[in-house]
Amino acid sequence: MSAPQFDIVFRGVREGFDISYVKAQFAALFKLDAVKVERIFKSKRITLKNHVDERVANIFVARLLAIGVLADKVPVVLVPSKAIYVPDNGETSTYAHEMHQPVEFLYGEHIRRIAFTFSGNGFEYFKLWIINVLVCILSAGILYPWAQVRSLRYFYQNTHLDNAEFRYTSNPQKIFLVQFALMFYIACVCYAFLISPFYGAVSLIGLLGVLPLYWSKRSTFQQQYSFYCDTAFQQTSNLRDAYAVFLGWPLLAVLSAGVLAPYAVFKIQQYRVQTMSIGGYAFSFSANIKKYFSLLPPLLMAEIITFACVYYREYIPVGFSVLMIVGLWLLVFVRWWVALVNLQWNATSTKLGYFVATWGLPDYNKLVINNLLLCLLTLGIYWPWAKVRIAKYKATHLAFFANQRFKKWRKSLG
Amino acid sequence: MALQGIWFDGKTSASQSVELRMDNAGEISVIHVANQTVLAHAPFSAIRVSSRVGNTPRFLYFPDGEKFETKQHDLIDQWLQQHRPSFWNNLAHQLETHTYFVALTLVLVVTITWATAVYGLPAASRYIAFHLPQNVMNRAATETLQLLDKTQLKPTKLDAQTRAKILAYFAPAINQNKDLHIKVIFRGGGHIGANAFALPDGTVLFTDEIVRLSKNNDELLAVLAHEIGHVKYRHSLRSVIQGSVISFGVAMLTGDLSAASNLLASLPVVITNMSYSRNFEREADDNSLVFLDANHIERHYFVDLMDRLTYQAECHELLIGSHLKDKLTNKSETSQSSSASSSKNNEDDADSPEWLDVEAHKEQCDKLMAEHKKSFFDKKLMGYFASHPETNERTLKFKQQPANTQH
Repeated sequence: MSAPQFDIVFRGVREGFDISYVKAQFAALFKLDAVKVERIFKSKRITLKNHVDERVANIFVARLLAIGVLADKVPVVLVPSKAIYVPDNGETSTYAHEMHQPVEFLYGEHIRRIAFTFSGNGFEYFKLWIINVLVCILSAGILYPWAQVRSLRYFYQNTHLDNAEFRYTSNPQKIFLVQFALMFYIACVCYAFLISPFYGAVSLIGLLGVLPLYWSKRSTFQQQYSFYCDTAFQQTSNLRDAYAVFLGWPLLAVLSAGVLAPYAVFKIQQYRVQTMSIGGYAFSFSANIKKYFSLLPPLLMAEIITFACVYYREYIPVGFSVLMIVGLWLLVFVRWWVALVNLQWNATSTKLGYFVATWGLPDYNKLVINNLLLCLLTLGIYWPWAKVRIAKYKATHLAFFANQRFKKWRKSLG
Repeated sequence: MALQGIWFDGKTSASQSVELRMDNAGEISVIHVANQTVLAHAPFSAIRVSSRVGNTPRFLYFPDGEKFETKQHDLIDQWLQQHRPSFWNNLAHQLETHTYFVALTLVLVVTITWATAVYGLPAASRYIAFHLPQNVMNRAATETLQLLDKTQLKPTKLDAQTRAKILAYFAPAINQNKDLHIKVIFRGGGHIGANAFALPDGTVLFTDEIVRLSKNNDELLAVLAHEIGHVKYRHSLRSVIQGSVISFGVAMLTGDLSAASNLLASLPVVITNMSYSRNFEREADDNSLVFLDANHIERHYFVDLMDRLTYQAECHELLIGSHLKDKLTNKSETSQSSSASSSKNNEDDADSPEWLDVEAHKEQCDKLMAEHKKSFFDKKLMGYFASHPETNERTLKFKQQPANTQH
């Protein structure tokens, strides 16, 4: 950074120039559409170009003056700030949010990209995890909630956004009762199967009926103890909607042999995002259902191949067909998971800003297969490292685009 | 010595940079760094300290609702040691930070898991199974048989005379085990083929095919003794107990379920269950061995039938394979395999089951078997997923002479 750098800031229209003429010239000069031009002209102070040297800055200002635009060249003062300004990092995927305009000069004071970061490491988590496992084994699973809280705390507190970390403040005592109830019920299901497969099947269906209630309550519970900047998340839970979303639609998806599965997933994501809020700012979900249906072909293909393997099982060696079916569904699952994560985050926004996710299928596939192989080779001991790698991937591929309101909100929280 | 950190007064979310100092009496003073004013006082005993989790910041909660955040873990631990000595205080964290403790924990976890899966769980389930009433799975057995009758099995095609003869031959063995309520029934095997299995309520099912494959009733008796072993040692019940505990335990360890963990978790469950199944088969084989010896029946009858069954199964598989290959390469069918293909489609015909053609295709079978020697690796790997031990292993003890000489 040897030569002084300048930002070109838009100040308005020159006196004596016709506004619509200036706008048209501006649009032609920067090759923009009318909507973007309007936005620029309406703003009070927007940076048109960042960090250019003096010669380029002068040319810029002169060009703009010629078409009737007032612009200043402002020397860039490198103010050390906690938040790091990073320009557009390729968030131009087809899944990107509609609000996201990856044009360099529309950033600046208005929208700021903040990346998520994860600061944990595999060995540190391994040490925590192995103690968890020992405790669970020695207590025959009774102390499992204690272990779960420790794990969650580790992952939350190592996740940072804008130099503030997330916190999980629940204590295990609160989780014990519900955990016990669920474990007891599952034990009863096993016993029912022992007595009679029919009773077992009935109690399993009963379990399915209780699960949406359990998930809904657990979600609310978990969110109320999740904090960002000392503000708790809230998850409202409407039982009727929870049942429709977690039981009704998935049931229809299964009955329709998977054809309605994309819609079921859409409904689940919509419900989960729209019932969340933080500090009074609700999350909103703006996804387009059409994009979900592009997930259907891989699912249907996997179903057909599985069916064929089962139907022709006499002709195909068992080991080969099992391996193929397992591998196939793993691929389908990863494909769905990556697409769904992108779809959900790219449709999530609040009044404070919006999210952009950039998960890529090839790298995530590589990561999953890598993790799988290493876990198999080490008989499962690699598990904590695998979890940390996934957490790191999640963080590096998610960014929050904050607006002015976010800045004010952070300031108000001290 | 002072703790540096951030102070939250509990009324607003504003934070201040402070220092915590402790005097000799155990009183903590919270001092604002910039202007050196004292913001709060409290005895250390009234402060709640959050537990260490990795290197994440830790909190001290003050009685009036304020909290202090810091990363200086060592100093806090020192204070805790001085003023609140307790064995459990951060035991978990002590274990985590010393590498030899971590290594020891790893060794302990692996050993305990292995010992539980190989010895502990089977022993416990055996104890439980024998302390539950014998009839606990009766209803399950009935429903299972009904299901099988509806889906896989067909009514038996053996004539009443054959069945009566076999049952008469079985009568002494059944009477010896009156408390097990053994009841022998016959069914058409269909896709299952030549087989026999026992249900937990004492029902022993023989398929028509295994009856026809046997050359005399002693062979069938050896199989009956094996099946009675399954009932006597309550293998179904033990298998359910062991299977559910393993599944449950593994599901809990892998906690928050994602696809990868689900997949990985099912593998050890499957392998362990198959291993348990093989042990049960060995126990049932032992029961047969003891029975044969006690009743002065020669051991080779078991071996003969087992060998024949295995041969038939392998041959069947190879024939299908070669038949499929012929179809795919559009070769004109040889006279021998054509009968196999036509009979395969004819399942209503009592004599059609393709396995019968094994006798007719013996030459072809031997040739195919010589060509398709399974690789050692293949056998070893598939061995882990097999529900029964390899036939050679099973018949080994039957090939040895019994301890007491017969007359």
